[in-house]
Amino acid sequence: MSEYPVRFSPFIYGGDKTRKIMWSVSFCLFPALVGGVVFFGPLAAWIVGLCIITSLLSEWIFNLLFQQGNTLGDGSAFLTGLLLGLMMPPYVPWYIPVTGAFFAVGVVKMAFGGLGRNLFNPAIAGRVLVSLIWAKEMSHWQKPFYYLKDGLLKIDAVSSATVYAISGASPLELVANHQDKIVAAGLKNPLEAMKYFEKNWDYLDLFVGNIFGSIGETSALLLILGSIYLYKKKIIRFDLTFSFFATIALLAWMLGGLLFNRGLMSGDPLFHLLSGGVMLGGFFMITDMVTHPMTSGGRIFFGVGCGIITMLFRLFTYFPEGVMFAILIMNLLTPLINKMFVVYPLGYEK
Amino acid sequence: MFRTQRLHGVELKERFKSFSLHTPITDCPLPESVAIPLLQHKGTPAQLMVGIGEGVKRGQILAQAADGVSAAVHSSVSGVVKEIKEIRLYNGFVSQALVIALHSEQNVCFPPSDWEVLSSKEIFQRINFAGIVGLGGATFPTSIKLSGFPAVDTLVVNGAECEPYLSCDQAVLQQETEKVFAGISIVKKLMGARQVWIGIEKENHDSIAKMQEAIDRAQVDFQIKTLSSTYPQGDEKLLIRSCTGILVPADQLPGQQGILVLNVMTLRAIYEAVALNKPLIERILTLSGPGMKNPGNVRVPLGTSMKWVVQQMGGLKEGVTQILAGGPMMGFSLPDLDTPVVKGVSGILAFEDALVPLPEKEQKCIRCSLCIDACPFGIQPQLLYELLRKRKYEKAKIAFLFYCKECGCCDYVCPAKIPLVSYFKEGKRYLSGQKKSGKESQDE
Repeated sequence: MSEYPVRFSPFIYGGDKTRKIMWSVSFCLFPALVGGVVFFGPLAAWIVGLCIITSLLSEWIFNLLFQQGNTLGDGSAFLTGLLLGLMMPPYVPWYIPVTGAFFAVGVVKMAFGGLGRNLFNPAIAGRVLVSLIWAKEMSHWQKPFYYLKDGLLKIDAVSSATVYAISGASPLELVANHQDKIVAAGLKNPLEAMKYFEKNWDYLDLFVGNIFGSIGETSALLLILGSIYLYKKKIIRFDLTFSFFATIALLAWMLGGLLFNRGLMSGDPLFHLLSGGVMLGGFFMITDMVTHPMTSGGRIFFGVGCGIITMLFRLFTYFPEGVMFAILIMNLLTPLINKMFVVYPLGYEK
Repeated sequence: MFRTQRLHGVELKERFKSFSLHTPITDCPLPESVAIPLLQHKGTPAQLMVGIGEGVKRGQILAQAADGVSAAVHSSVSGVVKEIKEIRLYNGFVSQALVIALHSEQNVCFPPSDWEVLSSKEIFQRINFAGIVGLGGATFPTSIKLSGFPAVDTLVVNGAECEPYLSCDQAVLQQETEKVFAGISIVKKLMGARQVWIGIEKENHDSIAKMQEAIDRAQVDFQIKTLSSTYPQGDEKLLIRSCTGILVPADQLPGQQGILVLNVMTLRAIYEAVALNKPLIERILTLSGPGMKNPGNVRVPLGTSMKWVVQQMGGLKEGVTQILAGGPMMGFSLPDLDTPVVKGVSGILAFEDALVPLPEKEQKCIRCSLCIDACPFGIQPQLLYELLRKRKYEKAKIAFLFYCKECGCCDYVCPAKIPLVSYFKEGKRYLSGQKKSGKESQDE
């Protein structure tokens, strides 16, 4: 009979709990979500909400099925739904977010064993699935609802009916899908290409997000803002994100000019960094802890690999966007990378 | 992989040392009886030399060091041996102990003598006879450590008390500085060391000041190295690297690199043994924690029941839910206070629920790799956890399970509240058990 319970050391704990980490990431995505709603209207909020609700519902159903007890509180299903929603175009029929979210949480995450045991990033897998099944709807982009220029909020008085009728291509698509026109017109770089197609977007627009694209992907500014807190808390790692962005920039510079018949070392790194899913992918998708390697060397390898595959997809395939495929492929390699990059004990001589 | 001088490990949220450094070291009032175990050190229990009914004097040897790794045990009081029984020690070990009832008169004293006239051989003999062990918690017999490596170039003094709450080393550095300083000088002379480093964590300004004063007064070239307060700065090899920049290879002892590390409390005991001819019969420990009424440092005769010590020093507050012997990172939780103070007990901590809540349910590992970042010894706790969870013991051994020092850094940072150290302890115990019984362990 003991007066006090006998436990093992240590007896004090200092780290943040899993729950806090997951909700912190969701919190840091909030600026991007707000930006999405401002740019694309209340429908964006509805789509993201659909994704989140379906995710939560799927996790709840599978918890019951596997008799696991309720894991909704750890915030990971909410986060998956939020990320998936931010990757959706602003006008998609309801069945797309629902399918994507159910697949992401139910199949990719829960069926693999739940939190911490999934091989693939659930949100990315969900997006890839719906992009392949409903390719047309997933590349239907919408004109931003409001224009924000030079800090002034100039509300474009367009009624909701006509908004849905105004659509067009995202910057990447412009560059990727109109190769022949670009070469024929002798355009030198993506910005010129965009001007040619009467989209007067410049780097500032790409940075702030005032362009066509997915709900949360467009605004580099808001994403970077959200990432600062995560860096501080070591939820996302500098080596991982920097290696990804650096590889993208380097390859964009080295090979980007090929699309414009300008030869090597003449590409536009800033364009590639700011367009498409690179910002969202770099800060929030590749940094999903469960699916990336655990040592510094492994993370750098992972980031570089993602960067290479992304650029290969963007420049040399039909798909204008490569981040999601890159992440899936590198996720698959993560267990192998973990075996390659090992930490040795202090003072250990091999 | 980068080998930087930066210490991994964790920045503990709060260190709570000032709690117990307000007051000077107090003497614990003598109890009615003490229970002196024969196993207060690493290795084999000492061999009994007295019998029941015999009268013993304070400082008299009760048991001599056995063959191999062992140390002598002396009586901390004058009295009569009432019985010899088995008792449970703070670390879970069980040992034979002599229960001695105290006489009303305890008048044995140890007058100081000049140690500088002694030869190295005589110094060593006194240390050996006195039953001195590592008092930082490791309790390895000091004379065996000293005799194991005759060629010592650098002496590193461990004044880095990295565990929170514990402050006995600092108290000794501040209030018995001369004793520690003399101990350092004794060992330096004994081992013929060329240089001396004294490592003290940077927030212990008083300790650094007092030691610097002593050094300046004696005009020797001991160097104080101000250490960062990262846990576990007090680990032997990490301390050596912080002070000298030398990284002792993983499979070697510091002595093989000509370096010797000794704790300040041990050095104080060495001084008493050599200069006062006083064996190790008492130690200073910290009573602290939010559940302790009067936190402070107290000088206790070995064998005194912890219950007595805590009572005499003011007792516990209401609502104490956990008692620890040692520090909160690597200490032992006690089922009750009916266990004696022995050589390795550096503190008794009392906690109320708020600070040391019962462990939360272990959640799933999210592979955040914070544990790998935190581990100061370069192992991968996550990998070991995965292997041990699946009972792949042999694979865990290959993945450097035995290089784990159980410091608790990984546990401290884990967001999923996985009790990593417990997994490792269980794994090591299983593998050691397999080795002893000579069986081949099976991977399941």
